[in-house]
Amino acid sequence: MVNLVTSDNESFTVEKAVASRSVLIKNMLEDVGESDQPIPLPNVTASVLKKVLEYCDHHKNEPMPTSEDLAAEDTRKRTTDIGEWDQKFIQVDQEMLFEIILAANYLDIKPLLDVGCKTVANMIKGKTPEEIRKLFNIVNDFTPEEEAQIKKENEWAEDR
Amino acid sequence: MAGVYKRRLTPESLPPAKRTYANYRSTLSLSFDQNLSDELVLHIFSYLPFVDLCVSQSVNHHWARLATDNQLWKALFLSDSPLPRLRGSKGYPFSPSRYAESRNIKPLPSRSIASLQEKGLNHSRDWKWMYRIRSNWEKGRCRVEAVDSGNVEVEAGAGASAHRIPLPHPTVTEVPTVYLAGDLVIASSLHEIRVYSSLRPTAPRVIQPALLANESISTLSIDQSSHSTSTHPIPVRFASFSSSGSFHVFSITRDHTNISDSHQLTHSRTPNRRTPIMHAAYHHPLLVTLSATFQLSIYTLPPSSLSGTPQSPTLKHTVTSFTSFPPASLTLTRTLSAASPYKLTIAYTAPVYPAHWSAAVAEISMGPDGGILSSRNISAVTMGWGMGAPMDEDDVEAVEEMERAKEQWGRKLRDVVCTESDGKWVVLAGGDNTLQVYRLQRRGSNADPRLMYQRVMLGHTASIAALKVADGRCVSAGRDGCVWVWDLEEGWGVEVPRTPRAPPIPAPASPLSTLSISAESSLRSDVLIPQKITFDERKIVCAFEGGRVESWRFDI
Repeated sequence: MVNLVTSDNESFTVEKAVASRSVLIKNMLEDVGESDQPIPLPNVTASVLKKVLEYCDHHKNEPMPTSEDLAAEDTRKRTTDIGEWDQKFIQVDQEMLFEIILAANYLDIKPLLDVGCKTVANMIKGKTPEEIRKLFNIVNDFTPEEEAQIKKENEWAEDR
Repeated sequence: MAGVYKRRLTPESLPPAKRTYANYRSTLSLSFDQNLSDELVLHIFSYLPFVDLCVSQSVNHHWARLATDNQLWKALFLSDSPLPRLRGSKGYPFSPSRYAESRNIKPLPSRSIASLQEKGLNHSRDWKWMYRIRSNWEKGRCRVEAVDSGNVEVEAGAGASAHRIPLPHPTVTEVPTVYLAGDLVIASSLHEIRVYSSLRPTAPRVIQPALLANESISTLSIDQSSHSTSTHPIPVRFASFSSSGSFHVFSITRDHTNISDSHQLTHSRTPNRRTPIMHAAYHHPLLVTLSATFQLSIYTLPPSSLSGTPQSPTLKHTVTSFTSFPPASLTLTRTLSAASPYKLTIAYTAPVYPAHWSAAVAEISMGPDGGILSSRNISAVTMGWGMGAPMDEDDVEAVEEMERAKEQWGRKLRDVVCTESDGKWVVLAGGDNTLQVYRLQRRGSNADPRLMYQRVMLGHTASIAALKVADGRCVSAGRDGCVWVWDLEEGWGVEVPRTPRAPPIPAPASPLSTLSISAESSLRSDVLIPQKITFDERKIVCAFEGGRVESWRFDI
């Protein structure tokens, strides 16, 4: 069992197989060897870690992605398909979604990071710039001239 | 790889917010722009199709910067065209090992390879621009321009007929040809060659090769050994062939103000040849010609003369085929082999008893000096015995082979109007407005390749007048002026926009005759028949009857 301590000082005790989904934790465990020392995770809050561990627990028996898988991903046709369980899992509010992405990035859980990023990409797909701004609370800092220029530059991509 | 994601992102110690969202529903403590690093945003963007990436560019400055990331577009470009071929846009970073694995034969002339090497070293390639050009090809999105509006007086009419010169050979009619060399468009008519440069869009340079009284220009061939681009214009060499078998080699140099030509070489008519040269391929110092009677001649040319005195070529070989028929096409390709660096592919039409035609190819390997090393004929239709019922019904391969041969027999055509090849693909334009696509399939290094039927492509509603195949892409023009772009690998086709023909500028004349010319031209503008079409990675150029030359630019 591994003991993890969050930034808000909450402690989680999980199976090693679950915690090792995080390459960061896996490497730490390999470095320190067998130890009962708690592992501090200063960048993750308890509410987020709980969610992340839920993901890790569900996927604990799957093989870890190898470096070949990661290399092959660049050439493979990109897909935004998300597994059924993962899709349910990632149905969270936007803030939690960003939290999960940041935590997955920090903890180095590539499959979870992919699920998070695919979800954001799916939110962007098919929207207009104004809809995207509204969705993510973004201020348009373009002048009308700049906007017209970009629109003209991307005319080729418009559906006919 | 994993290390990329190890960078710590510390939500606690974020840089101070550049903007406040007080006026917005600012309940979020995390926001897209402030909490996601560039790396993460690029990761998200890597899942977006190109349309959404373009839309994302309009969100704000931050998004615009990341959505136009060159590496992002490079990955998108490569993932959207997983086949290791050039896609006409010559979009692949040159990797000799990967290229060598994918095929033994380079389907492109070596000037394209040179450009790939040159571009491969150039890391500042704009991948979004490349994606855009490819997308334009796929959608048929282009701009039509008239390179030359044509000679009004050449068109038939009471006054024009006086300009017509009787043709010495019934096989040579007035067929304008057109070729592309970097930014140059080289077009020929009966007695002159016009060279247009995009650097100098005013009048073309006119070259008039020395022709005997009864001679006319039958075809042209551009030297593939040098690669010229608009940014690095280097001299372009080409050969001009006459109806009686003589040829001249010219070299063109140009800058922003001028195009000049120098006469490099003259080869007088071979005494025993009476037929015109219909096809030629030129890769300096090798020149291959194919006459109307299927006499193939291989020449080696001397190095460029600086003195300005035209020199003479050396005839290496002359071979003849009595079983090959027009239409035909000639493709000279470079191979990776040092011993046999040239491969000549002659696509021709082979008779199918009693009154039909099918596709066939002759492949000739040549040494560095132009000597023929080996040759073989590959026909789509399997001839002879051995294709009957196999002895063993369980021999799946033999059964399949028999089925294939039977099916191929059924694909014979009553008329073939054009044949083109790029050394890998062979396209046959049938008299029924269809295009039959074949692929030269290689089985191991020693076995003979097979000419395998791939598909038939439908779209043209009129007879096909001109065809060009290069790099897995085919461009065809119908007699009705419709131009189609086809992807032979994927099988799609798209019609490019029709030419919006502006009324021709009338020649200075009396108001009455001007009126009559315009009226006549507007009538015949509907029936201008394409004669010769060609294309490169950015544009299609077509020569019409009457000397009109038009281009379709896809780099818009």
